[in-house]
Amino acid sequence: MRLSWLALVVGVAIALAAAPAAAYPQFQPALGWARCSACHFSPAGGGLLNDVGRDEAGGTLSGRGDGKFLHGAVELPSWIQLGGDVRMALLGKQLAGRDPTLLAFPMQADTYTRIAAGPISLNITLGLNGAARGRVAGASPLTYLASRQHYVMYESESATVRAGRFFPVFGVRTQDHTAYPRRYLDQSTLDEPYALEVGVNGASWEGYIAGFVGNPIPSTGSGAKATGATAYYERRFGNSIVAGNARFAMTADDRRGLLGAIGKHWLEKPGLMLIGELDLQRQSFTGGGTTRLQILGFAQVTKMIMPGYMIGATVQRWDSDLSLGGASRNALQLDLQWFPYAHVELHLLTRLEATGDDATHPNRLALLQLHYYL
Amino acid sequence: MRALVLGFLLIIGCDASTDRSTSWSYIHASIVRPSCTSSACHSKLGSQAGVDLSTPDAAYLLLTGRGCDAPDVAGSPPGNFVRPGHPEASKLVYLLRGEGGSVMPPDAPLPDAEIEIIERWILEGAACD
Repeated sequence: MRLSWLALVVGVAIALAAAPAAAYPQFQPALGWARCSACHFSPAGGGLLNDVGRDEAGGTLSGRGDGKFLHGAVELPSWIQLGGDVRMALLGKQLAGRDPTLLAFPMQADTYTRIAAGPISLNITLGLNGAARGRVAGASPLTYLASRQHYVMYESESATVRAGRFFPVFGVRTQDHTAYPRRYLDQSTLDEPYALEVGVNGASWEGYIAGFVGNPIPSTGSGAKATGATAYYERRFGNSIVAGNARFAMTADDRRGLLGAIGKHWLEKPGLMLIGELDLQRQSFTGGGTTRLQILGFAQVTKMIMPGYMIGATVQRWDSDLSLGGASRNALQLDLQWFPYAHVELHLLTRLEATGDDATHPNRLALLQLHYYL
Repeated sequence: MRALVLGFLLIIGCDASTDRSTSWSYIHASIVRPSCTSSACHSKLGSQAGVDLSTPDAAYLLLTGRGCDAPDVAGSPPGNFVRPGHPEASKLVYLLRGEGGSVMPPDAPLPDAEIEIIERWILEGAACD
């Protein structure tokens, strides 16, 4: 009975469509783990969970069920790891001064495969593109497929080297691709570049540098197709994590240089997880035009009110041209996440978003998401 | 955050949209590409409504109905979305302002300051420069 239900879920996963998967950075210091790779195979977090992550997801977060692959029904050999993510969404939105709209759509259907031989592993994400909007009539079936990530990784106790398609370690790396650090800093759906990344870590720190090029396969991605480099350094002090970011990206039309800082702090007594990111970016244009300074701010507080229930509030700001009045986007967001059983999440996201300087007529959005991970 | 932003504004000053370039390469890199070309929308992959805005050349051809290298002939037929010299008669402006139908981008409409730059580009002839 259980297997037939799982087969149905897998079938739905294959039949439906996708958005990107990433990590829940709230969990990192709150659960006492030093870094994202404590729970995920990827050093950037997100995607396939390792044994520790599956135990945490099944035990600590939901408090019920077995977080292992197929709920523990099948034990895979150690050289192969499999998994997946399926998300269905119900979206209601009302732009300022307009009628509300309601939309139900498949948001994500990704499968994960990791094949390891000693310190070397091949990591492949294969799924379907998201379907929040309709398809172009006559589109090739190939455009429905997506492989957000595929890379080879070497890892030792103190170092990782990755080559292939993935997001380099950068920013807060939230699972929400519409969060401003992802939407406005080239980390949205299918923006993954091809990159070479080197990471080193010690007991209380980790650092990464990466070079990247835009995805050369037009039918499998979007974004700025930039070429550039990133650097990230993170240090932990007890319940606090402090990190610095740098990024340079160039296209035929522009050059962007970014410096940023990330902070996370776990307030043990009230059980609050605080996360913040602040980035300053300079964009210049090869064809002329005023160089722009841009700023991105992200601040979030999250609380696990009891096992299986998490609430959060987030404020975000993106100003695409600091010296031009009225070019900002501002958002206030409330999240309620329920993890009723291992592998299952129900997430209600509500957001007020003001465009320009007018905060009195915000756009309203509510997204209810059913998430199952395999 | 507000105090920080105000501090920056004091340092760098505050411009109006008329201080910004109206070259197409600037408009594409600063407004069209970051706001319109995500994977599900007007990327080469998404091409919603058959509209691919992912490169300056492709976007210009689609919006104006003429290629960047085409001679600027007086009286040449306008594209579907832009009527050079006439923002008030350009479908693109109606879409961006959400007048008379759907609004673009549908999830996060552009700030007025950015729409005004596009209107000035159209008013000044919608050149591909």
